Amino acid sequence: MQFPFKEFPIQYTNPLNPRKTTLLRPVIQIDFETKDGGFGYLALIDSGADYCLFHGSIGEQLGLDVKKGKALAFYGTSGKQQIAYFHKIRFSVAGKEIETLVGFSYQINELAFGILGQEGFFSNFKVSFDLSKKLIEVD
Amino acid sequence: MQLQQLNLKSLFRKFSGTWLALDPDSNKVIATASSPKVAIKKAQKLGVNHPVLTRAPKENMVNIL
Repeated sequence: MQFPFKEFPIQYTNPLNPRKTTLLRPVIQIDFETKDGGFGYLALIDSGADYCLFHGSIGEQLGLDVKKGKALAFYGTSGKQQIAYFHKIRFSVAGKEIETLVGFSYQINELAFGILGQEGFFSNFKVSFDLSKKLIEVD
Repeated sequence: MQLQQLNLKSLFRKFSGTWLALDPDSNKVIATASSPKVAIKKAQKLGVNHPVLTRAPKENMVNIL
């Protein structure tokens, strides 16, 4: 299934290109079904992420006691330690449902989306990117 | 239903720091809230059964993840 890249705003003060006010990111919609109804959630396809990582409040919406999950310290580029709580959950991508371990963190509120990483996403899907056509293929 | 909204620029600038529930049929923001739970409840009350959630950050920074 093909997904278009999504356009996100960036601050006007970007010194690398002051006239560029948006950037394209490989963000796709994934879907959940819960007893309270279903919902979609935007997530970034990130081959540099070892695992999938979603907002802690999304875990709550899935009915999880988030902090009862297996705690794992993880690091981004700043080297600052963050904690994710891992639970096995189900979600759908392009109509295909998978079950996998996902980390939930309360320290990623400045991210607009979840993260789809190697374990759970790339281990279940073949992914290709064509930025020139602004398309992502997920099979 | 897949959300077709490709450019989130105006939405993120207008609703920064909140959770947004988008209607995948109209590609419009139909609810905003401080939590996904409240955003989804608001969307369901408006008849949107499968809203798409995203979080508009307080600041729109360049990401290197």
